Amino acid sequence: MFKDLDDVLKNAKSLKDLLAARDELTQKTGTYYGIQELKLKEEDPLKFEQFYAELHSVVLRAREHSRLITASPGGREMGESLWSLCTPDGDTLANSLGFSTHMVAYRKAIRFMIENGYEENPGINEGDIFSTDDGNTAGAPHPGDTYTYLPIFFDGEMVGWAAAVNHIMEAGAPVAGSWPGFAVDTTMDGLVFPPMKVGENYTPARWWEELWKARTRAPVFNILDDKMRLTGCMYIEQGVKEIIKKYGLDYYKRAIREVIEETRRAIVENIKTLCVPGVYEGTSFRVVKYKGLSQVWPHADKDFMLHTRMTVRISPEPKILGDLTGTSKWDYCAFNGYPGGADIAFYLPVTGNFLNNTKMTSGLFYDIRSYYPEGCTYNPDTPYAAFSNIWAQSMSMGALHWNALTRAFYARGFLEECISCEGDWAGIQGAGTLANGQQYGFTNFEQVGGVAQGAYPFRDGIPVAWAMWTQLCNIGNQEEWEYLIPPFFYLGRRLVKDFCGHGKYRGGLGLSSVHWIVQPGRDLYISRGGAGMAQTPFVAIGQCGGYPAPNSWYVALRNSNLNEKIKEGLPYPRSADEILEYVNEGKIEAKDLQIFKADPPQLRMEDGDVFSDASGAAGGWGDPLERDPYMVINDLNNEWISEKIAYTCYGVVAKKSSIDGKVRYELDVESTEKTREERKKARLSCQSVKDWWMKERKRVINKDFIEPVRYTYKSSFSTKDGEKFRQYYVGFWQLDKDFEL
Amino acid sequence: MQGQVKDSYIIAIDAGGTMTDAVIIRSDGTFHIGKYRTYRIDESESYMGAVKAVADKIGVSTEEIHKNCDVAIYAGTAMTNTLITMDGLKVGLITTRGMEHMSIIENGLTYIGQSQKEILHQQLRRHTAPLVKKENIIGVTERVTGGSYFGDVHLPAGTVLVPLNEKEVEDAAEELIKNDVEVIGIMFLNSHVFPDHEIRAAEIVKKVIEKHGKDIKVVASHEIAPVGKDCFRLKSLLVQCFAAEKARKQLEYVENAARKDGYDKQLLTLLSFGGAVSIKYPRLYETIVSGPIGGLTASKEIATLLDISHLAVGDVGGTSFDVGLVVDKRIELRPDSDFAKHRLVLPMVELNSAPLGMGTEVKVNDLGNLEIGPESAGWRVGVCLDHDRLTITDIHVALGYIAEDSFLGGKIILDRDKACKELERVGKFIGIPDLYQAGEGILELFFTNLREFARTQIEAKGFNLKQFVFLACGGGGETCVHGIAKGKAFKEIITTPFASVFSAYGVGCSDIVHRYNKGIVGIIRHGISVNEKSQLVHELITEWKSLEEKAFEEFMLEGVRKEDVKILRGVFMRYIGQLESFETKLDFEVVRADDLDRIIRAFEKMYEIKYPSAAKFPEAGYALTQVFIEAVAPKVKPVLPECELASKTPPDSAYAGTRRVYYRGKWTDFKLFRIEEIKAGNEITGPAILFDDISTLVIGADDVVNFDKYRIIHFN
Repeated sequence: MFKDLDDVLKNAKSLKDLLAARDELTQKTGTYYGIQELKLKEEDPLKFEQFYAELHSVVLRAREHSRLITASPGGREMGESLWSLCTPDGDTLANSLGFSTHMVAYRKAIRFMIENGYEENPGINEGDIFSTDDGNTAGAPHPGDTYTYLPIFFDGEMVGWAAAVNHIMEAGAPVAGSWPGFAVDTTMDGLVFPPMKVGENYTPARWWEELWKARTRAPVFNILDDKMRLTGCMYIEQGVKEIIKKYGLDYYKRAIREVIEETRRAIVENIKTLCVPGVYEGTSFRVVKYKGLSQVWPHADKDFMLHTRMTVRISPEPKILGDLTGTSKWDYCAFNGYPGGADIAFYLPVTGNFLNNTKMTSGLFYDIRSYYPEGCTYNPDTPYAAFSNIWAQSMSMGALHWNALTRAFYARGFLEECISCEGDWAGIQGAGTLANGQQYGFTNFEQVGGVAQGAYPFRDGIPVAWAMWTQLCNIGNQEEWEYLIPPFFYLGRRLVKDFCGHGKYRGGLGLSSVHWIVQPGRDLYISRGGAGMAQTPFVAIGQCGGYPAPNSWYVALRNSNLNEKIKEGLPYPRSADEILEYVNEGKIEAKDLQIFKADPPQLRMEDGDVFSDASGAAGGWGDPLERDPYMVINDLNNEWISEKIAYTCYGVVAKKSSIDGKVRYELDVESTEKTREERKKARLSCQSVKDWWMKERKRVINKDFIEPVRYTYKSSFSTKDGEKFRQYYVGFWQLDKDFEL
Repeated sequence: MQGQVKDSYIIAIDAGGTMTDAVIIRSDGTFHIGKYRTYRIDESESYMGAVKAVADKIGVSTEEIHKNCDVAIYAGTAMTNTLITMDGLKVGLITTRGMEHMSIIENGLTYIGQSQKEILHQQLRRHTAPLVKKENIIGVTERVTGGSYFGDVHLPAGTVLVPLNEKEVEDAAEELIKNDVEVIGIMFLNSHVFPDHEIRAAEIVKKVIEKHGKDIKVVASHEIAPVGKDCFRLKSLLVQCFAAEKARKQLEYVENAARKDGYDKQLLTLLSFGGAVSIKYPRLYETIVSGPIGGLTASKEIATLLDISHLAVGDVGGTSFDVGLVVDKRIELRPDSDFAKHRLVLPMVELNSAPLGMGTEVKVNDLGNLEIGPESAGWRVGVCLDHDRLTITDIHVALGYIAEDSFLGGKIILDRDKACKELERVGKFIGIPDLYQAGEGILELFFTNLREFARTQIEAKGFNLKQFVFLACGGGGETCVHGIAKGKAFKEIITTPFASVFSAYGVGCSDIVHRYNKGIVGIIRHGISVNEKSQLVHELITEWKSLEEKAFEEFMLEGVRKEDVKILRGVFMRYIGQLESFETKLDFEVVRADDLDRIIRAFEKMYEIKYPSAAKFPEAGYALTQVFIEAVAPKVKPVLPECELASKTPPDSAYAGTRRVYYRGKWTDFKLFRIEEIKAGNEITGPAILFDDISTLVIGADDVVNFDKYRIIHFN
């Protein structure tokens, strides 16, 4: 069609032409738009850098300028927002601080608008505002993530898009909150809309605000978020126009493509430098407990597991392909997603690891790719699959990818780049009606803001230190969460003893908050979205012999005498484990105490009830028996671990003493050495892999599975590439070649 | 000078990390400058050294100066150093039960102070070292509400859910005393709107301390930072406990040294939000970044003198580029501030730093791309002196802007050949074989970075660049101003002949200011009744008055009379639902219910300036979240003398020959002028270099500069 970039820039007449030219030239040549020489960079490298510095700083400023408008801590200071500048055909040129892999969605949404003739109907004009939160058409991971697009024109020519996204407080689904955990199909995802023109002449349409008011439970918050996104986009638009005036349109149009090709080349160099080529496999399962939740939708009334299987192939060219063959078929549950949203999880590890020394652009996406077999959880062969909580299990994909890269870095010897990835997140969501009839919906993003970091090969991980999906780890202030969600009061926000993956270096401890319900009024229903439950192995797996972190777990203490006991002067329980301790010791009594290790359904909460979560713990690195015993003693004295874990897990014998009522531990060197030797010997006599395989093989031949397990494997066999996985399975267990489930 | 009519003096000191700058201002507004090495262990030594350096120039004794000193202001780095070196006081903390780990998890803010690239590189995450040891944090049972977005529909602010367990407080105090803590902080949730539990706990703790006959200071969070962001309020409290009380000792050493030498007044220091305050000020943590505030304060004076409504000041130092704003002759403040990797709720001047200074390193990364900073050679200057990597100063030396034999008045000789060789090596790496061409290109990029950073600071606040006059200061400011001026992004560019000690001069210009604030919960919904309005107005007035009483009381301790104190009132306000409140200053008196509408109008006006109309949301109603006052007391200030305008042509005595500089792709003769000889009214056409012992002011080929009647230098 077009022979090179110069030809495209001269002769492309529409966005459709541009997009087709980009696809074709890039695919044919392997370089972005077929760019062979970075002409502008070579002619004047410093002008080129200066040009980019100006583009980038406009986008950085856009966030600082507009974020204070918002109602949600997520958008304002936590990492749940992003502003960007895109090319007309949807590639990202520069990002603000925030959850940067959302730039994957821009490509998807802009492609959708172009390919579906938006240029003609509804038309793309200066001052038009577009918005979307759809997974299928626009790459949104879940309906809570809402995007704004503002086209940028210069002298009548469409030259790019200002784009913004943030995670809103309430998505308007039957299950209230931001990540409805129960959805049978997409009609239960909440307010979902494909890319739509929602305003003209830089002014949102009147119906737009009305829509938020009518269809979501936190309209004020959602409208303010919308204003925040738009303000930043307008800022970018103005800034880019000025830059084009300064450098000239011709320079701009060529330079933005060279910038992306430059990044693409840098990514290639980074993969070469950091990774040993090879095949890195990983797998994980997530429980879906829908049995008994509803009789209205019998096809969704079942328990099963979602299987995520990922084979990361790092080839010597180098290229990286994340192949999801073997992953479950999509199902009648909230945990499916569409390729764009899935890619936002897939690209998390490579954004952090390969973009930190170059420009943060779409150049990332050309030599690192994902493959989702048609029909699988991440690529449903229907537009009706629900996607309201893909994030609950796509984090395990992100973690598998990250850990695959860690192994590739470790093999190369870059120890300081290695980390046991922790991909957990969790948020409490719900809706209520206050005593005066005031209705409201909410999400507490606390543990979306940050979790512990896993161990490194040379040091411990640390608590509440990062979030794989954003650059800005921040769990928000308790006083602000209380301000936003009236009947919730914190009784504690503490690290939980022993709650980490143990190892030569241990992962960071997980966090527990206690939410005490005071005067909820007429009603209050809560649920909780999260990635850290019901996963096996957990999203925070261990490395090189280190243990994975324990799964997240929650406690609902309802219909108890807590309020009376508090009135009597009982120091209240401060964390999930302390609640259980109190109940065990009889300090409080509850008629209804539930411990959840899989997603809780919507719970009705009354005055004096308590909901407490424990999540965000990270995995260990290396054999715990190799941990410096003095580090174990130190952890004991800091009350980060218990005597039991010190002994059973680390083989450390501690001498306990008490001075002035304060317990201190000292190392019993001799007993510790002896214990550790015994442990090592005991390992030699445990079951061999061969024996285990023989035993398990018999079970497989006899199809001796519980129903959810059988269902899960059968599901994995039934996607478009399911046969390939079936053959792999048959090969692994050495079964009849016609073996079926 | 001796034997003339007796002079009076203002001593203004800016004690930086390496050098202590002193400016001594005489009653006629003229001033003399001096420098001395900063002696961190006992800053009274460097204080006296710096004062002596100036006294020697004037030809009087330090005693003479101290005896006749109207005011001595000392802006130091003691608190910064205490935080960086972690050698503060041993802190004990009593907090709401369940919040004992807050200072360890610090909301997860592990990225503070990192660049976007570093933030993206998640392996670089670390928590800031806690300012209180875990064993010295004790939780006590208590819980109160802070009010909600729904106003009084749910529990109003200050409802006690769990009463304070006083026995637990007493036991905690006993234990902390046993642990030998040196200061005790108290921090309860929602104390910003309901301080009663903190006040009661402090009483109990003080009693226990008294019982043990100890001298342990007790500080409560609502006294330090009454703002509803618990983690940042806690950090503010801890900084006050850990570093401020220790810094006060350092300031007392300085005051004692001055007193011994004949000074009979109080020593003042600078607040992070501008203004001077006695070193006895209770919330001393508010002086955490006192040093760089000087530059902004001086800029405010310049803005007033020249009637500039929007002034940006850029200080190019050795390691950093600090940018601050003076809008409507007031220093812009922000409610949160990041300092030494801690996020505080401290009103702080809008001053942001980028790692771009004269000592900043220039290097080529593994991908062959050029990087400027963030590392800096600091006092090693560059390869031309004692460093192993190319720096911005090296390039200036290689290209001829800075002469080898004139650095710091020729006290230090630089090696230009070394600088050239290193520049050539770097140039080849990036594909530019001609070293001078490479050098000029790199400087262009450096200037762009300076400009863009300044621009980010201005535009991120919602201002337009073209409104702003840019004032360049700091040693590097004069050297780089021609580069910043390029592109004419700003309304005008100015600098001063004393730009290299601008900050210390600004220390001398400071007003004596206290600022007080209190968290409130005020909801203004549509259809609010006159009764409710008047109730809210009454509450505002009561809160302002109580803050004012406190201001008068504290000023009294500093010897300032109530009648001499000027008060400005204001509120922090937002649309209901928003989380960020915006400072709204009130230039009218609030008396009646109707005045609430005027407050709303003032808020809307302020908001309109910042954001486009699509960002307004009056339909939501308004929330008042804080009241504040600024209390200002009078102080003698220096005056820049107004000179008679001479002709445009500088006197022959100013002319000092020429120097060859590589400029715009060729070697060009720059005329040299001695700054001190240039008169008000003189005009100098570039290319030229103006210099004295400590400054090199570069004027580009297209630039013409004028010295106005105050000898402030304007680029045209």
